[in-house]
Amino acid sequence: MATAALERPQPAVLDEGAAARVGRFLRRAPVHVVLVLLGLFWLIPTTGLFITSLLSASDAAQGGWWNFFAEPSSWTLENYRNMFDNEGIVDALLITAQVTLGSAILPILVASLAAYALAWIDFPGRDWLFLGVVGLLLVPIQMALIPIFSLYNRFDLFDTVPGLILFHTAFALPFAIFLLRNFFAGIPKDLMEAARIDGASELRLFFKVVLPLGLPAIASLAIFQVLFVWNDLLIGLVLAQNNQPIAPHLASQLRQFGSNLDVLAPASFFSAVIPLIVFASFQRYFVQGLLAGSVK
Amino acid sequence: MPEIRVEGLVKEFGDQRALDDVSFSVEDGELFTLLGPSGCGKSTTLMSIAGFQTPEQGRIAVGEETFFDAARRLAVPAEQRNLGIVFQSYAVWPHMTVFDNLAFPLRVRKLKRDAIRTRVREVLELVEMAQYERRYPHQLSGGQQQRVALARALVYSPAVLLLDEPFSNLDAKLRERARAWVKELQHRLGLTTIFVTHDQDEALSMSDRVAVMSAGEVQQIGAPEDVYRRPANRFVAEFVGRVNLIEGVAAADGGVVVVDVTGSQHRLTVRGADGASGNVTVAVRPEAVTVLPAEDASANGTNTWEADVGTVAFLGDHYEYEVTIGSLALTVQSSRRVEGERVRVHIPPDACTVVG
Repeated sequence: MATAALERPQPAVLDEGAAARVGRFLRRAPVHVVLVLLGLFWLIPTTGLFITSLLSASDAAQGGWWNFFAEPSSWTLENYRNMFDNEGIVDALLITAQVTLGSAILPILVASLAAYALAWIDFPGRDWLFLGVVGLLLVPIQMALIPIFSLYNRFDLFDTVPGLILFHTAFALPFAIFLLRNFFAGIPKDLMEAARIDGASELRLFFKVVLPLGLPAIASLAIFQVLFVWNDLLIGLVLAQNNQPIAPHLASQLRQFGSNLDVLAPASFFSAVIPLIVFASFQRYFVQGLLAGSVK
Repeated sequence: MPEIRVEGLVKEFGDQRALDDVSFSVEDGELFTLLGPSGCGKSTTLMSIAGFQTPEQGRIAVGEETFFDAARRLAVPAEQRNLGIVFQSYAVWPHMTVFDNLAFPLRVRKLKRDAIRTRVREVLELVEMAQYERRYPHQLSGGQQQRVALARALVYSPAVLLLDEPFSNLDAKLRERARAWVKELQHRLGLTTIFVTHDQDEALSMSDRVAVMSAGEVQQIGAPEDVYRRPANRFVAEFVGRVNLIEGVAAADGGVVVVDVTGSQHRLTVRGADGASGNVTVAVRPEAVTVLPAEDASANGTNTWEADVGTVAFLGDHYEYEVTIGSLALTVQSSRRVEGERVRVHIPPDACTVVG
């Protein structure tokens, strides 16, 4: 049997000359170029929006925001100033903020309590209950809109902030409970037994040991919720009329006055930037949270 | 007045008996060890005392209080038992500083802030970790985390301290130091302690008394010397230290076991074999057997036999001989080096224990 001589594996390149380095860069350049181009391409709409928001009403009406690059000095901040004077938009932003805050906090509160019970308290029917909760993930929002719409009308919840919060919370719970329950289940039992033997009651155990340890999952849940609720159009459109969050408000403005870009552009851009800021600030929790419950 | 009384614990997991009539008592201030291989039930016993497991039968009382009584359906929850426990994994809370870890049980007991600070610092001094007050567990070494776990168990002056294999995650050198240190601390504080381990060196060196367990049953309870020198049965003889097991038949005249060795019969004088009859097993520790040169005629007394040397190994502080007397193989430990292929071995009657 002839054995081919094994090739010595090439050692990692440590000592390369400048020429070799340039060569390597050039070989990778096409990939980098493509990636940069793709990135820029995706940024086009946002850039367009941003630039339009900086143009005066007349300039914006002329169309072609790309002409901005020809005369960069014609930008103005008056659109933003006017935006903050525009009651409709400011109200919508405030409503969105309230709904988002409520829809982030309430699911976390409820889901964390439920998740702890499902993970660590042994009660009859627990597994079936968990299965049921996870099964609810399959219910599409659209199916619930009309029944909830009539329900809200009956209970005067239509067009209210609490009404929106409750709906968002309800649909956030299955995923939240699922995520948190798996994460809590991964907490070493010893840590909780140690708290018990130290005399901690169940409530203290929950708030002082379980919750702090579940912070990565909770933070990422909060981010999911903020991103989803802030940008939501459908639910706001159906379950609100005069007190609409920002997305449906801008959408209706677009329908009515499609030409007032000087109002729509800054509002849209501003509204788009907020969740981006949230995401950027809490990004590390987000990444941690993506793995939440998957690695013990 | 024993501090801890455990009576008749029975615990089943499905149809498997993890604890089978486990009973023992621990005196005030004593360091009592549960020793046994994995799965023998020692951790289950400890967890039952702590309140994390509920046996099917039995009774557990500490001091004046009964913590568990199956007959009366009484089971005091773990958080009300005021015991201290150090887990094998230390279970130090990663999201709190060392100070907060220790302060936790004190805050539960609603101590004032100043009182907490004083007490935490006091206990940190005790475990020599005072300068690590503000550190987080992930900034500490394994040994340091273990001391924090111990400090946390001690900070609220529990009635009893429970230790669940606390040294198994430490390296050998650290383990030795930790053993001595914990023993000294326990003795100084006079704290009644139950210690669980599978390491017999630990059990023998630290305990006031040892309970050897196997398959859910207590095999023997006694002081380390007793358990080592007079094992109650074959399991204890084999589990604690190394042992030679010699099969034979008890002779009619008491105190002698006749050992049948390929044709010839040797009479082994055994202390304490008076009541035995029929087939017996005698346990002899290797270090109790003495080795003498074959030519030494003066050595011709009781229990002195000629043997063939198989191998001799030098282990630094002693030699280990594998010898055979016909079909009987013995391991002998001696600090003497006796040359030759044939030697004499002497087994003192006192070193022989009938184990079954």
